[in-house]
This record gives sequence, C-alpha cells and structure tokens, in this order.
Amino acid sequence: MSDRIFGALLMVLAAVYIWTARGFNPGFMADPLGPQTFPYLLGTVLAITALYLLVRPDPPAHWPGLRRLLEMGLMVLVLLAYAGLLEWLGFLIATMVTVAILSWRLGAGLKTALLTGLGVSLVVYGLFDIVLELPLPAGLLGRF
Amino acid sequence: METLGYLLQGFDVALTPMNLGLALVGSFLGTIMGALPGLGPANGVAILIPLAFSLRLPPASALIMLTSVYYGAMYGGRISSILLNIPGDEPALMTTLDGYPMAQQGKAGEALAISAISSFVGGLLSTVGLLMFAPLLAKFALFFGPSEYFVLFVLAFTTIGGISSKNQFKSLLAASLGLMISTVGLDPSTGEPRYTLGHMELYEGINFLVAIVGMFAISEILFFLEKSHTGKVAKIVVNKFKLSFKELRGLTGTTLRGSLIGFIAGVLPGAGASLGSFISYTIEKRLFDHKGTFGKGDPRGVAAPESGNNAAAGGALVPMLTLGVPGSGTTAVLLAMLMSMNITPGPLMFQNHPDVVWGLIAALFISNLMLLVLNLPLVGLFSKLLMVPTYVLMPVVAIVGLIGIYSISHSPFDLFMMIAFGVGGWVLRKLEVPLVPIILGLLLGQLMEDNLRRALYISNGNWSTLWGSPLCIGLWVMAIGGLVLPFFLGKFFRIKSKAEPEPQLED
Repeated sequence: MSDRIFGALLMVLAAVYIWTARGFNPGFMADPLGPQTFPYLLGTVLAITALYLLVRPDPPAHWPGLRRLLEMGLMVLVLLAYAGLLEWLGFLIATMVTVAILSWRLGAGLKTALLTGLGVSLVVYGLFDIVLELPLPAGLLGRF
Repeated sequence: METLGYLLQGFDVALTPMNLGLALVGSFLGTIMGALPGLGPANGVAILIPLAFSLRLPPASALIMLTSVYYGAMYGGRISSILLNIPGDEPALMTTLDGYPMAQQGKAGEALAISAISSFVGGLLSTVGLLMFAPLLAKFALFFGPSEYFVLFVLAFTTIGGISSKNQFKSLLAASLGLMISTVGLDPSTGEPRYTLGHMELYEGINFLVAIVGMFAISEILFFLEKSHTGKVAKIVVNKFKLSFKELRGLTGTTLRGSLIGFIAGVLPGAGASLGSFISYTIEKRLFDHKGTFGKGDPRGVAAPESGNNAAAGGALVPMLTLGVPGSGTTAVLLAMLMSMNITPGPLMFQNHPDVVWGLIAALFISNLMLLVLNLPLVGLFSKLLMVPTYVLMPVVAIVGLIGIYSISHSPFDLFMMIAFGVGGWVLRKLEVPLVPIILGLLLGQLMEDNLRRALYISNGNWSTLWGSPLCIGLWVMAIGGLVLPFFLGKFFRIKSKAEPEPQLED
C-alpha cells in the first residue's frame, strides 16, 4: 500500500514537473534543446518508475505506530526550533536544551540527559569556536 | 616511470606537517566512525565535509583528510563485527561470520590483529592499483566528448543500484528525483529560473551539501528515535593477541586473493565494498573450505572479507577520480566535497590539479600505514568507544551536522532545508528507496544536462549523435546491462546473513 500511495504522489509530481517545464523561456540564442528538454526527460523517467510502483508494489513497509510517529514529529519540531532559534538563543543554550531533549528521548534518564546536554554543548563549543576558530553564535549570552 | 616522478611530487604534498596531521586525524576519526554502529563511511565523511569547507582547507588537504576517514572507516567497521556481532558498517557484515565466533572462543585479539593486517594489505595493494590504473584511465577519458559523457552519466545511474539491488526501479526513481532537484535554480545557459517557486534563496539551486548532510545525518537520527534504543551498554573484553609468523603466512594466499577481488569490485560500477567483501568471502569458502571450518571462527574467514573491503575502497576511487563518476555512496560524498571546492574530477583534474591527485595517492599510502599502526596497539581504546551509548552519540551527530552546515552559510533557511531532507530521507529509506542515487543525481545533474545540450548543439539537434561513436555504443551496452542484470543475478549476489543490519546507507 505504501508503495502505491508513493507511486501516485510521484505521478502527480512528474506531471506537475513536466507541466511547469512547458513555461520555460528558451531564450533568443537558444541551443536546440533549451531549458525544458532535460526536465521533460527526467519527468518521463520518473513517471515510468512511478507507474511501475503502482502496478507492482513491494511488500508494505513497517511504519511505526501513531504514538511513535507523533513523538518523532515532535523531535523534528525540536530540531526545527533549534535551527530557527540558534542565532537568538546562542549556541550554548540552544544546544544544551536540544541535546538534552534528544538524549532523553533516545533512552537516557532525565539527569543523564541534562548532563549530556551540558557536556556536549561545552565540548562542541570548545572544539569549534576555540580550537577550530569557527565562530558560533553567542546569542543571549553575548549580550552581557 | 613518469608515474613515479608524479608520485614523488605527491609525497612532497602529503608529507607537509599539516597534511600528515590531517591524515592522522582523519584515520583516527574514521576508525571511530566505522566502529560505531549507526555511523559508516558515507555519513561519517558527509558530516565532516562542511567542516573541511568552512575551515578553508586547501582541496588537497581536505581530500587527504576525508579519504583517510574513508579508509579508516573500512578498518573500524570490523571492530564491532568481531566483538559484538553487529557490523559497524555494511561492508563489515561478512566479517561477523567468522570474527564473532573467534571472539567467543577467546580469540578476539587475534581476530582483530589478523583483520587489521589483512585490511592493511588490501588497502596497500589497492592503492598501488589506483596508482597504476588511474593515469591510464584518465588518459583514455580525454577522448570523451559531450555525447560520451552523457552516456557515461546514464551508465552511472543505471549501475548505482548495484548488482545486488532488490528493486532497480526504485534506484532509477531515486536517480531521477536527485536529477530533478538539481534542475532547481537558474538555468546556467539561458539564465531562466526553473522550479524556484519565486524564492530568491532557490535561485542558486539547492546546495548539495545541505541535502547530503540532511539525508545522511538527520535520517539516521530518526531511525534511532524510531527504535528508541535504550542505552544498552555492552561489556567488551579484548585479550592480548599472540600471532605466530607461521599463522600469518598461512593467510597470505587468502589476503592476496581478497585484495584482488576487492579492487576489481571497487573499480566496476555497481559493485562496491560490500560486494567486494561478500565475493572474497564466498569464493574463499567455496574453494578452500575443505574442513568445514568457515563460519566457526576460521581466521581465513576474517582475512578474506577485510582485505576485500579495504581493497574495494581504493578501487572505488579510480572511476571517481578519473571520470568524475563515483560508483558508491562514499565516493559520491567525496565527489561532493571536491565539487564544493570548484574542482571537477575527471581527466582534466590530472592535468590542472596534479597536486590534488598525486598528493591524495601518496597520502593514502601514508594513512594506510598510520591506520595499521593505530589499529594494532590502540584496538583496546577503539573497542572501549563502542560503549558510547546512542543517547550521547546521536545528538552529537545532529549538532555537528547542523553546525557544520550553519558555518558554511550562516543561514537558518539552509538548516530548515537540511531537516526537511532528513525527514524525506527517512521516509524514502522506509520505502526502501536508496538515497545514494539521489545524491549522485544532485551532483551530476548539471554536468549531465550541460553535456547533453552541448552534444545536441554540436549535432544541430540530431539525437543520433548519442549513439554515434563506438565508445558511446559500448557505454550504452554496459548501461543497459547494468540495468537488466540485477533481475537475473540479484538473488545470487544479495548479501544474506543472520546478523541482519538495520536499513543501512550503502558504502
């Protein structure tokens, strides 16, 4: 079933991809192919492979349960928040919190997770900012 | 003779204190990454590329460090195979078969020492092979025109799934997805924006480093979150090894055969290190297992796959350096590194950047020796590292990946994109769609389109130019063979083992 859904989605993607390519302006000193031919080819190959998935799907994939999926989604949100807040919070605070959460969800006890967060952020900071001289954002801590 | 002169120049490059230091760091890190389950050569090299880039290392130095990581990972993979019966990375899978039984018999030290030595021999011989064949192939590749290159890229995509591939359609599908991603951005010859959805950030196209690190590092973390490994800590004991010269001499034949097979498997498209170690082991077992000791702790069963996979690593560099067409995941990642530094591998690299090519080859000799020296006495230390729990390792991988990308562009947009690629990579891996063809598509897309358009420009729009020369036809035959053969041979070559690894990234 997963393969069928995936195949159908890819069919749509291939169609949209090819349709969009029609609008590309070939330019006035064009080569014989222009900017649209290569996309046509790619879209066609994708459509053929997607069709194969629709017709002969593999045995279904084992997806995790809903609870686990939600939990993983939450971790992705944590990573996105890290990406978005890194500059404002600063490397040390953002990393400490993120690592602690990840480590906790990967099976560490609460105390171990907090210590891991602290340790990892300090070590990575030392290695990148001090040893390798790649400046990391200071954020909140930099304002004092 | 000419080669020898170049090689001496290469040693001049490789023997500077900085490059020696980088080779040592790379070998050390590589061994660790190979040893830790969940980190292999491909994702290990991937998370280090942004670093090499933002530290502004010269290309030769960066390549030296990262190929040391690659060679090192081939050494490291065996450690957890032997001690824990868990392959540290996919090429080390076959080493579990005899390595773990040896460890159970209290001969872990011997197994580790034998595998280190045969890894060394495999690595050494394949570097010699690289030295001999790469310049020849590079000279030959000078005859390639745009049509030949286009067909060569087609060949790369039809064979990347590998002879053991389960579903060829899925690797083609992945390749076209990667190529499609590579068309995002301004069309280089007309300046027409394509698939940018009006976002200025996308005008320059999608940075392949962002995609690679996302797909390799973030998707790995999601896999671990899914299974939520509770930090089980293994207790590991390594005995002092005793090896007699006689024992080692008994393994000479096995190691030499393994190296030769591995090197060939590495050079050929569609094979790679996993298959190299698989074939070396299988042949050794079929031909020389007279007493039925294979699988019960026969030292030859450790020497064969280990010499095979290390030799394949060197072999895989041949097509990557000479044609710019990688045949495996890790060499694709190495190609990404070179391309991010504006060096396009291929025959011209041998002329324009001889320091990179020959410095690299010289450095491979040096780092292989370093690896042997590191791995014999320090194996106890490396095996202690196997006790690092997942809940420390995976967050570190996440942070190093994210910060590495951040240090290139200082743009949160790239980080969001990287996480998106990670989630996409996880979904694709669940669906058993391989990720390496996507990477390859991303890397080669622009070159492929460029060569196609130039070929058709020269021929005035006549498509038959694509099969107009004997070389083109030969490449087409190989390409179609690579696509069709797995349907017939796949079952025979597919790697089967009791210690089934998690859905791994290909080597």
